[in-house]
Amino acid sequence: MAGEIFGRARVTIELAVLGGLFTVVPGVALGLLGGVSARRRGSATATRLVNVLFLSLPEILLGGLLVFVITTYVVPFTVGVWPSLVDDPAGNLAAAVPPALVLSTFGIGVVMATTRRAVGTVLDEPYVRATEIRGLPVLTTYRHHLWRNIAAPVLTVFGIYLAYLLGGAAIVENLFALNGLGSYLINAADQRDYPAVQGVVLAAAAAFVVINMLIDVLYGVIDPRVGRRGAA
Amino acid sequence: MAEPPLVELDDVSFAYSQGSAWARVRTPVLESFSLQIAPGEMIGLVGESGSGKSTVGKLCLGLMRPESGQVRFTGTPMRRQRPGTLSVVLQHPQTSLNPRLTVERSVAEPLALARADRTGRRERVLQILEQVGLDPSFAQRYPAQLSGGQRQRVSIARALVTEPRFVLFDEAVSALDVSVQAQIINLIRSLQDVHRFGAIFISHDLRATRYVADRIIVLQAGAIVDEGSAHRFYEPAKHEYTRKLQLASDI
Amino acid sequence: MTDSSTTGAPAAARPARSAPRSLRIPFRGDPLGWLGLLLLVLLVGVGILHPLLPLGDPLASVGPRVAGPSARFLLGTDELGRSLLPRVASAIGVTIVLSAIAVLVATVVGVAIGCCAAYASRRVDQLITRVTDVLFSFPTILIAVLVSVVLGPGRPAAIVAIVAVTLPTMIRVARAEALRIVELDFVTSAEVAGARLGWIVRRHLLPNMREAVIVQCTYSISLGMLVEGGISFLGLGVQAPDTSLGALVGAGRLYLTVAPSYLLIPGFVLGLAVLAFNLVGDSLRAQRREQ
Ligand SMILES: Nc1ncnc2c1ncn2[C@@H]1O[C@H](COP(=O)(O)OP(=O)(O)OP(=O)(O)O)[C@@H](O)[C@H]1O
Ligand SMILES: [Mg+2]
Repeated sequence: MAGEIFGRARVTIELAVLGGLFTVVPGVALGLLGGVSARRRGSATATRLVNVLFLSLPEILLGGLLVFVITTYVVPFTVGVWPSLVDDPAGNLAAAVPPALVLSTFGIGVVMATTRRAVGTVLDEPYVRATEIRGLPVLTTYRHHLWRNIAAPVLTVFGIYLAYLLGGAAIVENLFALNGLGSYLINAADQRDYPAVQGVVLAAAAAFVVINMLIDVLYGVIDPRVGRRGAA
Repeated sequence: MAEPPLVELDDVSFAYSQGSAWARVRTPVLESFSLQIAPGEMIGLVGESGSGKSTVGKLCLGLMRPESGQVRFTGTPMRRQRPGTLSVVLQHPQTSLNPRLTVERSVAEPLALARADRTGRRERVLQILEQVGLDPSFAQRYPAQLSGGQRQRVSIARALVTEPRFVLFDEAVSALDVSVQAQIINLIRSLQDVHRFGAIFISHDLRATRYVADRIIVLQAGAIVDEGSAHRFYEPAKHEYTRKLQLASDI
Repeated sequence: MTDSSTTGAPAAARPARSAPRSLRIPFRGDPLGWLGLLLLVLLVGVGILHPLLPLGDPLASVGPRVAGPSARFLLGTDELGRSLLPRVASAIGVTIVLSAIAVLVATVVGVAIGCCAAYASRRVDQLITRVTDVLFSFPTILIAVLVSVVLGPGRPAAIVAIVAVTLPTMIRVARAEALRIVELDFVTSAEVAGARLGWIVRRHLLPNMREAVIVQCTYSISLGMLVEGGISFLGLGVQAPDTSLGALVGAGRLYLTVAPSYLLIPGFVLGLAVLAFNLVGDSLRAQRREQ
């Protein structure tokens, strides 16, 4: 069983890493844009709508749609195969990108909302208000300040989300017919194979602990003054 | 035999402790502190910020327990008193009233807690509102519809509605502007003449304090540095720190 | 020192506002809030009233197997030849109601724990917070799988899974609110006047945390619907003949090449329902921030 878990973990870990990348980069970017343009009423509404849409798009809908498109039309992506990343990087990405995209939508919404809020806090500071700098220049003028305000909450959210990605790949692996840990877990649950369920839960819990430790270390890097716990 | 003091702090020590179990920060505030308040006596407590005035007040209300020493109410150790016996008026008009309750319901709260007769409550509320200078039309308003001074009047009404035996005024006028301060201080003075409750009146402002209080205690870093009847504080004080306070509040 | 003003001159009266700051459902000038409310009313209406609407029998085999939308079957038919229109309509109701019941439970429990944490000794509070943190960051699907393995798949498993997923956030919100309110002067006044925990919770904590809790409820209901969709899709939640939007998507997945509408339509409706609650929640939150 341990061998099977390790073999399948390759798929799930790659999905999680890619999904994490697809989550943070657009999430922070959209959050910065949205936060900066929040002063104007029209763009504030547009930002909120985009943010809510990301939070509302069910994985099973987007995933189903992508699988349908990939299997029906000629597109450079695949479903149901998982070539090795080392032997066939292009084929591997063709298989991994669509499910990773599906995995990241909700997370983009969460990261975007967190970033927007952090940008809002910075923009509300009196000295920022006083400088009359509006729009995108704020991003460069106050980049250190923004960075310090955004990094910690985004990291917190991302830590939670990574754990979710690792355990929650089940739906996506099922949709895209991939042999990862998630589909293994669901099969085991279906067949009431308790030892297998335990095995996956243990693996996920271990990953969860490791990720949280890494994040605690990262907190120290971001803000050497206070550890996350010290402040409370 | 003489009547026991209404409230008595007997050789009390107190410290705040903060932080987690392994990183405890202890802030000692009072050390062997003693104080007696007679029934119907109004004590003025003055001193700089952080000198421990609020701490003394909270101990007198039984909101916190001393580390050592004893707090007594009418001669017996302080425990939970019958509802309506003690009350408090605090500093911030913005948070002194529950924004969800009408003035009437806020003022009636201590009566409800004291299980006062339901039918008489309304009249009692209107009566006390009148005493603090608010006409009956205020009863159905929400705090958001009142000025700071009006809210403080409501707080005073709520504090006095059960005819308590001891009232703490912790900077009850500090957040108000000067002319309103004068009105509220007059109000407290006149209500005290009627109700004869014992009280502590905490303030930074020696001038206001000597006007309301019978006796004044000057606190510095948790210790009593000067004490005497209120009119003594109209003359230049002998104690250096008290004189500083006088200079700060006199013209 | 003269008492010049007051005696409550009526001149001092301000334009009387009817109620204290509270949530007003007509979201002043916020089109997103209105859109969400409209969708919400529509979907809840269909989900609850569908037996009264002329949509057809959700359980009768009346048409071809697995067909796309047609004039006769507006949303197509499933693998047993049943019309999908009434099936989707009843599934909406199941999905929303399951999530709402679960969130109701999570709210009651979460608010109770949150209030206790705010009043408990620091050590108990820290324990509650730590446990909540761990639960919060534990993968959603893992919780759902564990629950359904222990309880067996079905509606109860779906509800318990949604409670497990939404409870930690609810505890956090309630605790933060309770801690904020407990520090306010009117609570101290009530304590000095002799109020006990129950009185303070009822009179002061609950009314003042209501708005934050309601906003959190709307978010939780939409998250709950996503969770229900996911676990029923995987076959761990609602079981046939019972159905929900997630279960329909899961069934439609097998016929993706024959009739993609079988998956896409219930999936889209699920998205709409989630969107409706999220829009309402977002609008309420934006309104709260303005105040
Ligand atoms: N909850 C608390 N935890 C830790 N330390 C506290 C706490 N409350 C007060 N202190 C500390 O105790 C000391 C006395 O505080 P206290 O509130 O009694 O002062 P005060 O005389 O009322 O000041 P002020 O005029 O500013 O209200 C201060 O040094 C303060 O920092
Ligand atoms: Mg004080």
